[in-house]
Amino acid sequence: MFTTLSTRYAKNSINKNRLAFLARFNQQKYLLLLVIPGIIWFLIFNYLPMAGIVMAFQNYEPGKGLLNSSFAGLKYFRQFFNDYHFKIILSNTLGISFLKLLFGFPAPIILALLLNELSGIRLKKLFQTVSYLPYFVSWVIVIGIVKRILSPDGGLVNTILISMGANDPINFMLKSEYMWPLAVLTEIWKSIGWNSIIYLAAITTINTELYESSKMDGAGKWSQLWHVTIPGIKPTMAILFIFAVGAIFTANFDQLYLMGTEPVLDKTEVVDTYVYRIGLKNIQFSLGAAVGLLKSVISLAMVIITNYFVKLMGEEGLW
Amino acid sequence: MMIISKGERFYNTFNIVFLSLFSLLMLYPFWYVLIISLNDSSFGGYSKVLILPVAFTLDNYKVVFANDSLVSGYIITIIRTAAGVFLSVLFNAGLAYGLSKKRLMGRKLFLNLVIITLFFSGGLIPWYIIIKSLGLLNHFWVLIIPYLLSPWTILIMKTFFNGLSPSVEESARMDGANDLLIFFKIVIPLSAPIIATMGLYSAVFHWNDWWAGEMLISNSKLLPVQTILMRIISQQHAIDLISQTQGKIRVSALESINMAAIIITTVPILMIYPSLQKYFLKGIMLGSIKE
Repeated sequence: MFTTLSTRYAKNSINKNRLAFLARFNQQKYLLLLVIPGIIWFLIFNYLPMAGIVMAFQNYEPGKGLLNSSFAGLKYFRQFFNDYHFKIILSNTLGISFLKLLFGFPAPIILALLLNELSGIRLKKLFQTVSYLPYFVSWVIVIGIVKRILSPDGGLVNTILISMGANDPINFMLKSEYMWPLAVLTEIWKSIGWNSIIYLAAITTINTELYESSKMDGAGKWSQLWHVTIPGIKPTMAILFIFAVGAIFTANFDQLYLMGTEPVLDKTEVVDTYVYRIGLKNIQFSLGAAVGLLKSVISLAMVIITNYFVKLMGEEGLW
Repeated sequence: MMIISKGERFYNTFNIVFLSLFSLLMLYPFWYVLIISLNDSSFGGYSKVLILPVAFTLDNYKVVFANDSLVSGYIITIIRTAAGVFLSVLFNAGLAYGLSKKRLMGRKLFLNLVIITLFFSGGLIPWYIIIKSLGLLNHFWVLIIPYLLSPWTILIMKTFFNGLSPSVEESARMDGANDLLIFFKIVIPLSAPIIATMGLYSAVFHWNDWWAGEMLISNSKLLPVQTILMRIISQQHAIDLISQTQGKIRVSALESINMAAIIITTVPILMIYPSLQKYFLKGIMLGSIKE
């Protein structure tokens, strides 16, 4: 008798929970309708690939799939480290990204500060509009333009050099030593205007009273810049910096792949282009997966570390 | 009356001069491409073409328009951009809206699911294998489906939706509207700036993407115009390379045609983006105000 009663009570509360669940579900069904397709997409295109990471530890063969390919352990990681490409890729990825960080991170900030100083709104809008023109154009086009400008065949730069006394035109795009500077400069050219937008937006949120009170304390333009404006955009800088560090190993695939012709590969090949070339086009899936995994893990670690240091410096991090 | 010190006036002039030079730097490459595209390529040396075309012609454009693959590429790009933007905005906004409601079942889980993908991914190879297994390769939709959602966009939109005043929604609900109706008839119209901004991001991506076509499609009729352009330009470069290694510098007659193709691919975006400015400037402002 007692057991029947208690199981009846138990079943009752389970049913009550089930009812409550169903009621909630029914109340939210449209909300869930908006949400579930997106979640499914993430599962398919982000989480399934994450599961596919195992192929980095296998001798993956498409025919056999993930379940039947033989185990390979750290073989492909070792292969990558011993590959003569490894040093080149590492050097290029870190070198180019570091230079881009060094020059490309402050550039939009400086532009935003300069634009902010303009008094005429029309002039400011005009310069702004022009500044992000290059952002809207594809890298295919940018590299096409750059090739023409640097071309040894009557290209702009060589024409100027020759008129200044040089004897032979320089074929810039085929010489390794120009690749790093070119990558940095074109990247800045393309993104400085667009990246400055977010800083300009941040500047507008700075309380104008701060400027007033600093003026009353006798602060000139420089002082105001240093003590009001820049601290005002520090939070924005911090967040963007964390993301920039996380992207160090990503080093713009589009740009570097398009610049990466045979003679200059030793200076343009980065992790992503290597994974694409060797992993995909050369169908070395496991190797590509291994390198890709390395990159993801290291990038994540760098984001976490940078976030930690940013918070140590008193700014709000990502979490 | 504002008293502008001498130092300030000097600084202002310097600023304007500097920004003018900077603007020139942004603009001149495009002008350069334009004048070369309007230049008769058989004329020979390009070194004189600096400010204006030397031998004006529209022939290069005629060649480009007669090129079937460029025309088909253009059509693919236009359809891809239109469909891609529409679907992306729809799915991103839907997910963001749901996530912005505290009462959503599984909200924390879903939110974390999205956020994690910002920081970690399985890498290119597994992603490619998935797409292959889904049978998407070599189909038009492979240009859109793998790129449908973006965690960035979702988080920014979610922040925006959270900032909307709840009273409008509440009164609609009291009138008997369900979530779907509220989303489409109330929230979306109220979110015009953020939708315009995210839509623009998506449009720029789709318009300019060459990689998906190069990597995921082999049927030449389905290639977007940027992929075709990329092949044309690298073919050209390959030819140059060969003639360079043979010690001669070839007069690249085809370059003018390339330039014309570039102009044609770029002009639509260049004409549209200034008028969209006020939207995306506002959108970025709204999106960057963190919770």
